[in-house]
Amino acid sequence: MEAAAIMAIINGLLQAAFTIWKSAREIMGDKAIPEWSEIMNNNAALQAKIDAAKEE
Amino acid sequence: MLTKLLVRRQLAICLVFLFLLASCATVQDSWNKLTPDQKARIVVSDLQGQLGTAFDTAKAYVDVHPQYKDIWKSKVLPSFDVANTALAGAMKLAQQQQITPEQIYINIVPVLKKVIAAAAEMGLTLPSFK
Repeated sequence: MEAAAIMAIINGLLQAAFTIWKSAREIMGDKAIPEWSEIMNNNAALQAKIDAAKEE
Repeated sequence: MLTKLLVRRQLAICLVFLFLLASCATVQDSWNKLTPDQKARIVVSDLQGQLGTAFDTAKAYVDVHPQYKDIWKSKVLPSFDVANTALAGAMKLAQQQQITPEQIYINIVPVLKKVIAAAAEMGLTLPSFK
């Protein structure tokens, strides 16, 4: 198997583990669930990055 | 001696499995106690975070591999745009409680998978959205 493919699999597994851990903390109440305003700000920030990349 | 080691290993595997089972049951129980709004915020913020990470990864990849700039501009970037716009729409509906967390997940994940497919055309393997 190619080194890049192995790295992609490891990266995917690590990200999945982190996502599950982060969501589990929010569900269990150990970490505050983000407010809608915060989530919308993140969406707007990504949109700004996308628009900037279009202009490049 | 070997039998003892095997028994210990099997016991350890059983204990880990039971621990995982108990953890899953606890998380499921807590999930059931959340309000639809809290569930929606967890689902949307998680998908938004994953999309942001995927964008940063793809952007860095194109910076290093400028030969894919055409595919990036014509396919990958528009797929990110569509996915992010779809997420913004889902957020508005979820805030007004017109869509359930499950519906968000079912409707948004196929759009996000198109981002993965577009990135694959550049030879980039993005982690699957969960």
